[in-house]
Order: sequence, then structure tokens, then C-alpha cells
Amino acid sequence: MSQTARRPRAAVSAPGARGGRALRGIILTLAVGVLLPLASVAFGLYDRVLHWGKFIHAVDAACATFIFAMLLLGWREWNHIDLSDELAALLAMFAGILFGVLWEIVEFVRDWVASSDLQKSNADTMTDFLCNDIAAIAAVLIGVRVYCHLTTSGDRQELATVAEWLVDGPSRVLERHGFALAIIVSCVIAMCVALLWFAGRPVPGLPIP
Amino acid sequence: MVSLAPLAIALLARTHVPRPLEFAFVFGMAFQFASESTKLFELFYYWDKLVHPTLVALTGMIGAWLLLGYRDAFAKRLPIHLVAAFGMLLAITVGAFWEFVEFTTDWFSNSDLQKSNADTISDIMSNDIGAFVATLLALWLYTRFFSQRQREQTGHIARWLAHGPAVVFQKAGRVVGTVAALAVIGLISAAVWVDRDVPALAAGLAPGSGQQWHLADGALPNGSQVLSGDWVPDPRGVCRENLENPEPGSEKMGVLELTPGTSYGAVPFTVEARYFEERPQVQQGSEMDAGIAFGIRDASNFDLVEENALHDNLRLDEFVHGKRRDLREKLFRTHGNEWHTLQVSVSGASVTAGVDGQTIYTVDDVPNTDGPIGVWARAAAPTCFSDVTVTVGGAQ
Repeated sequence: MSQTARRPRAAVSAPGARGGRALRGIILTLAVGVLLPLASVAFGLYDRVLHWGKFIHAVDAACATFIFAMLLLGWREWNHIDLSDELAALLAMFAGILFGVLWEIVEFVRDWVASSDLQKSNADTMTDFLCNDIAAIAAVLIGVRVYCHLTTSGDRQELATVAEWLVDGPSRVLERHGFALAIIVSCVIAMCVALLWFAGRPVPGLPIP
Repeated sequence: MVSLAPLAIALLARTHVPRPLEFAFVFGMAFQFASESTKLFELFYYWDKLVHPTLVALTGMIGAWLLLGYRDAFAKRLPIHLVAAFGMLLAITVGAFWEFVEFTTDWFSNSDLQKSNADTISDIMSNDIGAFVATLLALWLYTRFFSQRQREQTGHIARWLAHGPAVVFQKAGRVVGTVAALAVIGLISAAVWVDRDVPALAAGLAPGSGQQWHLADGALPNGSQVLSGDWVPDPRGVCRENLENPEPGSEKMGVLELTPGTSYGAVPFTVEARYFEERPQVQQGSEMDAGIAFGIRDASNFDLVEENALHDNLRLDEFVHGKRRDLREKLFRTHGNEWHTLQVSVSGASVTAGVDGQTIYTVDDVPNTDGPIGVWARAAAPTCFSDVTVTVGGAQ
């Protein structure tokens, strides 16, 4: 099986030294995605504004997808990966949908284990998904357009450097310990499923807490 | 017909479909249709948790194989990590899209595919686990068992499959995007439109007063009216039974209106109902759902608080034109073959629901809460109500 040639590890340097336009854009998008939900909690906007939660879902999904799309496109170009624009956009869209899925799973687990009240009903969850996915699709379209029409060669190189820096560690771990990692992740998933199943149920041999 | 798709692809793409690819597709189709036609989803509680991840896993595997084949057949530079990510994310997306299809089907046809929020999320979790396992398995199978010829055939199929959409996107990408956006807007508009024109409350209804019904007397209560379903008196009370013996999963809801011609809601009121959900026999089905209906307009339009012993939740719904709109849901475990007391307190648009004296939640913006009250059930085996009490303004 052919493996794509990688640039030498030494070439991967921490981003930020140059601090160019692309990096600032990524940081700004990330800041919006992180700070907006925090500010919403601080100002009680979830309770004061109708459907504010849907709006936050959409904005966060858009931010995450936009960042992923920009980094993927930069990484693809810098590494000469044969990933067409369409396929790269599709992959970024999938990543945005995964973001929404993980968010809802986290909310569900918190409700299930800690009796919090994040998911009100099935319709609430599904409309959250809908907002998330529509925002992800929109963000991909914007991201691809921004990348193809508004970024310079320097911007793209900067995006590639950030992406390379982000994937370098995980790639190294996967290459060296992929099998062990798969076993560990499988065990963690199995344990989480068992914990969720027995949360609030009688565990054989143990009293109900 | 669908299972013939590999044959059609082989003819149109002028290449042979490799056995693993064909097997994965045909197995997936057969598994789904066999499960539906033999009612396995309804007969076994967690059958869908097996079918969902299996189909999602097969989708992820096929996606990963196609991309790997494309890479190898045309000497493309695609890292295997990227292919793995693509396969896994494709599978997760298909799983999420499936839930949308179920939600949309439920919204427009009340098919009850999504039983609860927990059901939806646990489906998605099982999908994601399936996607993770499938990705690992797909890479392992491809590298170990796919011959060079099979890889090339897979690559040619991938290119043939992608060629049409790629040409369409390149030539008319904006048109496709606009049509897709309009389709989504149209679907959302239609979803709002189907809920229009909820019937108004009948004029001239007398204001409701405190009452108590003891239903284990061997007869339906005086003045009550069956709006839907079969309601049969038995020693346990008045029971919703399925005299038409529906297939598992096809059980219909039944509403017994206790106060026709009387409207509750001008002043706050509380309804309590003692109920018994009989656990169905194996092969009989699995549904166990009992509730209190209020704000009844007719057999298809009312509000409902229901406790589901199968899915362990207390749910507040609004039925609009016979279709369920879930407003609130919370985990609360009960079991079949037990007596419990369901209670609902209504004050204007504010509804508080509880079980066995324990308040579970309050919802403040429930529409159309005023009107007659009744009991409701959808179950595979008899669900019985022995006593119902309505208290108005704090007095019975």
C-alpha cells in the first residue's frame, strides 16, 4: 500500500511565530466559538431570548466547520494531497456534523448521569441537529470560497503549518501505537456504555447508590 | 430491487463489482428489510441498536474501500489516516441523516419511529461506535484480503460513482445549491404548515368541577365517550385493549374522554390517574404507554402527559391532527405489571407533570390546555386505569 510521503518531522514548527492574517482569522473564529456560549451563560441569554440555544449551536458549528475546512484545505495543498475541492468540502461538512453529534452526546450524558436538564425533548435535540448541520454546510461553502478567492500563498502556508502542527502529534502516536490506541479507545467506549447503562440501575452484586 | 444495485453498477460502469463490496451492500439491504418485514424491531427491545450500527458500519466500510480503491487504482496521494477519517465521518453522517429521516417521517405521518430522546441519542451513539469499528475493520480487510484486481475494480467504481455528481457540481453547482437550500426551506415550511388550523374548543362547554371516578366497577363511567381505540372494563379497571390484534409496532393510541361537554382550564386543575401497564408477552410487542389527556378538542387534537415503561420516560406531548409533537421529556423509570399514579396540574399554559407524588417537571408554554379531560394509552398488552380524580382550584 502506498503511503503519502511526509515532510520531515523537523520541518513542523509551532505556529504563531509569524502570527499572520490566516492565524489571526483562525484564532478569532475559535474565540467567537468559545466565548459566545460562555457569555450567553453569563448573561442568561439562553433563558431570556427565544431559541438562543439554537443560535449558539449554529454559530459554534459554523466556527468549528470553518476552522476545519480552512486547515484541511491548507494542509491538503501544502502536502500535495490528491483531495479535490469537492471531497475536501464534503469531509469538512462531515466534521461539522460530527461536532453537532458529539455536542448532543455530551448533553445527553450530562442529563443521564448528572440529572441536568440540557435536552428538553426529542424535537429539541433534532432541531439542534438541524441548526448545527445547516450552519456546517453554510460554513463549508463560505470556507471554501474564502480559501479559494481571498487567501494568499502566505496565508495558505500559514494554515498548512497550523494544521501540520496539530496533526503531527496524533499522527506520530497513531503510526507508532495505532493498535494499542484502538484497543484503549475500544475499552473506554465499552466502559462508558456500561457506566451509562448502569447509571441509576441496580448493578449486579452492588447496592443502589 | 435495491439489492440489484451492484449488478446495475457493474453493467453501467463496465467493471466487475468486487465480492466484498457486493456482499456488504446486499447484506445491509437484506438485514434492514428482513428486520422490518419480520417485525424484529418491535419484538426485541434493542434490535434497532443492532441494525443501526451494522448498516452505518457497512456504509463506512464501503466508503473507505471506494476511496482506498480510487487511491490505489489511480495512484493518488491520499494518506490512509485521511481515508480512515473519511470513512468514519461518512458513516457518522449517514447515521445522523437517518435520524433526520425518522424525525421527518414521524412529524408528517406519526409513524412513531423515534420513541424518545434517549432512543435517538442511543441510536446515534451506537451508530458512532459502529462507524469506529467499521473503519478499523475496513482498513484491515482491504490491506489483507483485497487483491490488486479487486482494488482496481473498486477504484473504477469509485470514479464512475463520483463522475456524475462531480460534473453536475462543476457545471451547475450554484443551481444545485439553490435547489437544495429551497428544498430545506420548503421542508421546514411544510412542517410548520401541517400544524395549522388546530380546532377551536367547542362553544357552550360547561365549566368542569371536581370529580372522582372509580373505574373497577365493570362498566365504562357514566357520560364518558370513547374517542378512539377499544376500551374494555375488567376487574383491574377500564383497560385499553387491542381487540383488532395489530402487528407488533402497529398498536394505535386510544382516548377515553371522561368529561364530554365539560371544559377544565378556566381555573387551575389537577388530574390524577392510577394505572397499570401489563407487560406484553414475548412476540406480542413491546409498547407500554399510559397517559392523561387534557385540552381535548377531538380524537386527534389534545395535550398529553404520558409515562412510558418501555422507554423509561415521562413525556409531555401535544397531538396536532393526530401527530405527536413532543414538548418535554425526562427520564423516569417505571416497569410493566406495576401500579403507579400519574398526575398533571394545569394552570393556564403552565403544566406540571409527576408520577407517584413526585413532581418531575413544569413546562410554562403549553398550548391549548383548556377543554375536556380523559385517559389515554398505546400498548401491546392491556393498560388499565382504576381510579381517576380531578381537583379544581384546590378542591375536589
